[in-house]
Parts: sequence; structure tokens; C-alpha cells
Amino acid sequence: MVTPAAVQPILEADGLVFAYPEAAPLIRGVSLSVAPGEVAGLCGPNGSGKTTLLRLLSGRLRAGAGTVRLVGRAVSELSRPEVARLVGVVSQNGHVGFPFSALEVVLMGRAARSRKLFDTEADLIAAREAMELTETLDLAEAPFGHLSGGQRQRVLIARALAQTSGDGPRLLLLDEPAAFLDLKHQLGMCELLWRLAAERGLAVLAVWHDLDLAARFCHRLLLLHEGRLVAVGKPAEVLTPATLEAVFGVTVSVSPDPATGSLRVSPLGRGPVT
Amino acid sequence: MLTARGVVRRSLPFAALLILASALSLSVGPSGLGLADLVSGSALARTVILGLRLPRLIAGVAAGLSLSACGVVFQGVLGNPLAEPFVLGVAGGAAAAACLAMLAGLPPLACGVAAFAGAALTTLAVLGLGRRGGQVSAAMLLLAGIVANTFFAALIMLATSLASEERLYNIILWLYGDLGRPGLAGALAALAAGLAATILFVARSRRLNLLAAGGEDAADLGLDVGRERLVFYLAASLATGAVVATCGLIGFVGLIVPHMVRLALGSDHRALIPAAALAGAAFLVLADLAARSLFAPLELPVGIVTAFLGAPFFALQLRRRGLTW
Repeated sequence: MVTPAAVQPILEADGLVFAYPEAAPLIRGVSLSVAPGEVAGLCGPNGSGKTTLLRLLSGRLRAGAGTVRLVGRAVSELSRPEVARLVGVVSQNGHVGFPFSALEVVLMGRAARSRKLFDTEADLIAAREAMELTETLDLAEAPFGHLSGGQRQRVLIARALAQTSGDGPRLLLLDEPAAFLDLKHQLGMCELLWRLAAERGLAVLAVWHDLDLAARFCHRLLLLHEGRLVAVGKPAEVLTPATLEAVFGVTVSVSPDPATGSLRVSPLGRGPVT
Repeated sequence: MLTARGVVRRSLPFAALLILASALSLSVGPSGLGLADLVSGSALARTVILGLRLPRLIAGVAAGLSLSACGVVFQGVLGNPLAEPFVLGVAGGAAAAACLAMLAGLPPLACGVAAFAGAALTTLAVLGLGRRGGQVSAAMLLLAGIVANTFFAALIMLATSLASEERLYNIILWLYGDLGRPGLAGALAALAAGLAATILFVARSRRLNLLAAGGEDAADLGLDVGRERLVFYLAASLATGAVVATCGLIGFVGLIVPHMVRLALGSDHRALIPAAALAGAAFLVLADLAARSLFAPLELPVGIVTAFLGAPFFALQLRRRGLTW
């Protein structure tokens, strides 16, 4: 897999530090960048700060130190709608209160682009196009709450696409998009993200629990451990037995899958207690 | 896709219902005088219909539309199907503050300002109490409402124990939710406050959709969640305060009516708020008609009627869907 290089990154973070009040720091100096057309995977053990880092990158949380830049502009100096037009977020629980239809949910993504009270024809076109891309158009009138986990994730991705649609650069931040999905839908989700990056030039940064999926569908992996990035690079560079043992505390074997050729990580047993 | 025309179309049946209820309310009373007598130029009909029934009608419209619209807003902003001004203790806070102002002998306008302040402070306190780790929990919020209502009930009991007999009588009649008391000026003032809040709600209803659907996550859709919530809370406090100061405690309108209208129209607040406001006005006008017809010529405060309807409705909602949608 070729990493799209030499492209101006849409997202750059430099020296991010974050702690909740009166708590130990969760993020202790993270620098990273994501370029258009790139699928980057954020991995790490539970509690390593992945969700917090995503919230810092989307401007939901303000970093104690360090900067986040979106297309070269500090996120702290952008308004909420300005950030929303560049960055679509699909959070982990994917909950939508009230019985809104799938189309209504996707149209909500357009609020950041218009001060009008009602949705315009352009809003509807963007929403339908996003639903077509995520193969959810046939669910448009269904109540969001009645959809399956995989359908909900795809509708929320459609909302993020409708929200950021336009000619400019855009970034998708996803928190475990494959969680709670069965094998088929996991694969579908990964292929969708891959396609959006390749065909639409989206920059994608997603949190993954499943290292095999991450290895197969990400150009680049970022391994977070105790609030620091301990390894960044191509899957083969990051997913080494030594690194994984140090981060996850278990011994693993890493080998190419005979069918797909991408790396597979198999836990072997508990590592030395440190 | 929802358009302005669609909102008008969906509101029309509720507007028709309100017109019907208003005509009925102006026509019915123990004197037996009707709109025909007014048209024929009867002086007595003029006094009864324009002097007594009309102010009462306007008070009912003001209270009904405000409480119903506030119910929709509290439910939407908090994502809680049982939230409404009375249950949350917001109306109780307004009542206690107004009660103290009356006890001090302040003029009606000052009592209204006190009611608004009481409503706003209670809203912020109850929400502060209902918030756990950055999330508003539905159960905690209702418990916070119970705490607030208990405290304000004690405060009102204290105030009424200290009041002179004449003032006590006035305070109690007001407190029970009596639409006959405010008179034309009070009713119009409450209507102006209610309409202002409702117009603000409608103007921001697309944002309310985002808050209702996403809660804190609405920030990722480009919304300044904290500021938006505060605007809704303050406007809802203003409308609730105005209603309580003029008409007393009228509970559960904000629970019953929004649920009925949601069933008919769905969740989009751009259609829901105007329709619920109209339906709330019609509902309260009809409830007041019942209140003054059931034991005619004796008139009941309308708050008693809404409480008798609302408490079982609350129980039914709790039983059927609990604290979620």
C-alpha cells in the first residue's frame, strides 16, 4: 500500500497535552498529521487516551498545551461551524435521541453550513448523495432507532459526509467504527472508508480495537500508549512483536495472512509484568 | 423534507381547534349569554363576554401555549420525555418567588420579575443537580425536580402561614391556577411573554433538533452547545415565570400536549413547536371551560383540572416508556 505523501496535511497536531481537572494527564505530548486521501488508524490499549485524543483533534476539548491545526489554521481560533464544515465526527455510541428518521439525521449535518431555518434543495441533494455513497438511501424514511448497528454507523458517516461536503479538504474522525459489527459489516465499513479516502480524497483517522482490520485497511498506524504515541508508521513498522508486547503487555506473533497478505496479530500469552 | 409551507399545513388543524375552543369559551357561561347576544348589542353580554370571558380566554391561551412550548423545549434540550416546567420544579420556583413578592406587597410587575428570576435560578440549580460527570441523567433530573418542588412547597407554606387572612385568600386562589384572576392587562402581558419565547424557540428550532438528537455530540455538528442550552433555558424561564406570576401553578400541560402532538407530527421541532403551542392553548382553554362548567355556577381553578388529567398521564408515560423515548 502506498501512502499518499507530499500532500499538504489537513490535520496537524503538535505537542498536545491534556488532563482533566485534578487528574493525572491523559495525553502527554502527542504530535501527528493526517493527509487527504489517507486512512490512518489510531490503536492502543483501553484507557490509553484514544477517545480523548479524538476530542482534542475535533476541538471538543481544549488542549492544556500544544496546538491542533486544520488546513493550517489553529482549531482554537475557528468557530464551531467552521470546524464542523471541515471535520465530521462519528462517535462511539452513535446514539440519537427522539424518533428522527435516517434522512432527518443526515440533514442535521447540514446545519453548520446554513443559517436558514429550513433545509434547502442543496441540503437535500448533499444528504442524498452522502446516503448513496454509504448505501443507506433506501433507509431514508426509516426511524434511526430501528436500524441495525451497522446501518446506524453508515447513516452517521453519511451525516458526517453531508456536513463536510464541498470542494474543500475534509477529515473524518471515527471512534471505533467497527465496534459491535459482525464480520460482514466490519468489512463493509472498512471498505467504505477506504473508498471514501481513495475516491473522494477524504482524510480518515479512526480508532481501531481490531489490529488485524487496522493493519489491512490503514495506510498508517499510530500506536498510543499512556498518552504518548510510541510508534507511527506503516502497519509492518508498527505491529512488531516487541512493540505490541511493550504496549499491550502480552506476547504476540505477527505474520502475514496467507489469503490477504496483510499482517495478522495473534496473542500468545501474558508478557512479563512490568 | 420539511418546508415553511409544511409547517403551516401541519399547524392548521391545531389552529382550527384553538379557534373552535375560543369560540366555545366565549359562548358558554352560567349567565346563559352567548355570542348572539353580543352581536345583538346587549350591554350585559358586552360586560360578561368582553369584560369577563375574553380576559379569561386570553389568559388561557397565554398559559397553554407557553407551558406546552416550554414542555417541548425542556424535553428536547434535556432528552427527557418527562421533563416539563411543573415536574422540573421550575414553575414551583417561580411560584415561591412570586409568593414571597406578593407577601411583601410588591406590585404585579415586580411579582412577575420575581417569578422569572425564581424560574431561571431553579432551572440552573435543578440542571446542576441533575448533571453527573458532564451528562444529564434523566432519573437524577427528575429527582432534582422533586427536591426543588419539596423545598418550594415548604417555602410557599411558610409564606402563606405568615400572610394576613385577606392576602392568604388571594395567594391561595392564585396558586391553584385560576385564569379568572389576572384580568385583561395581566393576561396580555403573559401572552406577550409567551409569544416572544415561542417565536424565539421556533427561530432556533433547527438547533433544538441537533440538541435533541445529539446532546453533547451536537458540538461536532457545529453547535455551541452550552450557549444554545442557556438561551433555551432563559427563554423557557421567562415564559414559565410570566405564566406562573399571572395564572399560578398549572401543571402537566407541558407533558400531555407535547406527547400528543409528537405522536401526530414526529420529532422535527420546527413543526412541533408551533403546533404544540397552538394545541396547548386549545387544551387549556377547553380545560378551563370544564373547570367552570363542572360545578357551575361554582368555578374551579384550572390547575386542579390539569393536575387530575396530568398525574395519571405521567404515570402512564412512566409505565409505558420509562425515562427514554
